[in-house]
Amino acid sequence: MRLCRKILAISFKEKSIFRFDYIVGTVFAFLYIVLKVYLWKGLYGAGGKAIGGITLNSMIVYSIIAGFTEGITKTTVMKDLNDSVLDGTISANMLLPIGLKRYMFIQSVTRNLFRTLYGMLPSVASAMLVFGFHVNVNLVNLFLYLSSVCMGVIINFLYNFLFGSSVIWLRNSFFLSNINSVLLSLFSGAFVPVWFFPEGLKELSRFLPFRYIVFEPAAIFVNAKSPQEAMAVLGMQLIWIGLLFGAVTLVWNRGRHKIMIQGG
Amino acid sequence: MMMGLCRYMGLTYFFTKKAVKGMLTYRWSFLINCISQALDYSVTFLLMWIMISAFEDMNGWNAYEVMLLYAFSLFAYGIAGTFFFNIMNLLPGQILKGTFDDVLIKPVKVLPYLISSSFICNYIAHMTLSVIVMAVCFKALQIQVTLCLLWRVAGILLFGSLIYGGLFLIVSGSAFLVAKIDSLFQIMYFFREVSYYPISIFPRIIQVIVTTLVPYGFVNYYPLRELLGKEDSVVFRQAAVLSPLAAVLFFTVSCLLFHQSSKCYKSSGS
Repeated sequence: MRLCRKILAISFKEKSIFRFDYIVGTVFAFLYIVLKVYLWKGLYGAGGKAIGGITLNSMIVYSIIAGFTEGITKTTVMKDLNDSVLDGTISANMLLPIGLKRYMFIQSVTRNLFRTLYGMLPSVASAMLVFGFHVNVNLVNLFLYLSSVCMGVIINFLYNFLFGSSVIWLRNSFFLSNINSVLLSLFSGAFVPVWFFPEGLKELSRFLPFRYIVFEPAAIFVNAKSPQEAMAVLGMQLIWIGLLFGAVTLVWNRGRHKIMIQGG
Repeated sequence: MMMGLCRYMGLTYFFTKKAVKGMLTYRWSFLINCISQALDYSVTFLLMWIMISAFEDMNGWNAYEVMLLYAFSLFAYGIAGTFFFNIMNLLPGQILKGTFDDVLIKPVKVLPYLISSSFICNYIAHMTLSVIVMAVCFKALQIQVTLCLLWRVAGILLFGSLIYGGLFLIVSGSAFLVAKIDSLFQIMYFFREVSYYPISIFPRIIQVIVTTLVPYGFVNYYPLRELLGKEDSVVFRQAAVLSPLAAVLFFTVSCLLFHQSSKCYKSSGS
């Protein structure tokens, strides 16, 4: 916890130096939300009738919330692992009096927390003000959403750590990490929710962890799911966490003795 | 004039040869890079198709027509990037460090030299992907691919790439005036994203901006609106005929702007 506070404080100091960058960043984050909203407006057309049971309004709320969720769950751990093995800094991190996995998790979560609080909240809040936010948020839903997001964060971290460990054997996991980001942007539903997918892709997405990172939490938030369905989602997320955690432990315990440290 | 042109053509040939040789030295790394880029963009195409197919159309444009918009924009971006991206990528660093002096003491004109020496091969991925998508879209839309159509497509792409080239120049030229060009960079890429879709779905103010200030509309939207015979309402309805003129004008103005800003260069370092 102390470590978290420390990293958070440092990040704040770092960012307050580049104030102009911050303002520009926020303005454009807002504009990207505007872009998405107008895309959906254009798609729904003047009639604005519900497609697949989703009204234009919930779609707008969905895309704002999905953008927010994507921001929180994002992690660069795969790239970090790759880079730190390539330039040898991983050796210093492995000597820390805290496990590397835990260290990277705390670092990644704190960074995201910071980015969300500092960077995304203003733009998301102003988007909500401009476009209205007509959704009944009750406490149960909010709670379900938040727990689902927490699990999404863990799933994405574990998944990326698992495939990031491949750098130990492959020497450079750039290509793999790229394929992963492509899969994530396709199946996570951050841009186009899984509702609109053709049947085949929808079926495929059920067997991949990606939809549990952004799509399912955001769908819970916009009330597209009954409490039972939401509980089922949380259950699936737990199963994925269990699976991935097992795999990460297995791979990491085998691999960490093999790490070849170059340079440094 | 002719002599000068020949000279810079020669230089371009020389630097292109160098770039291709450099690429061939690390051909696997190059190939993997290309495949990654192409994958990235193909997912965007796929998402676009999924999104619009679920709704049938976007303000009168169906999925394949919107994908065509994107493909044209991507191809034009590819042509421009081949010659201009490295200017934007490298120039700010050169100015900051003062190594831009090297260019100034060469017996060449600054801008033609920069353009002829900045060739990179990476954009072959963008162009290949866009050609594939265009072919798919033309087939799906049952448009006969005639010689006349190909000429028109080539013209649209050429003028489109002039607009992209102009934008690259404006952004990199501003590095002479301010230390960080990130915000201009952001503007360029944000409106690029806007131009992937029929701009008639956006509010008027954005329609005006992408027609005048950052004229992406002329890259793909206006020419294709006429080519496909679309009737969606947009602020400037008859802008299609102006596209070539707008492109040439915009490119000329950006060259002049670049030239003027380059006069503000103050060398730093020793």
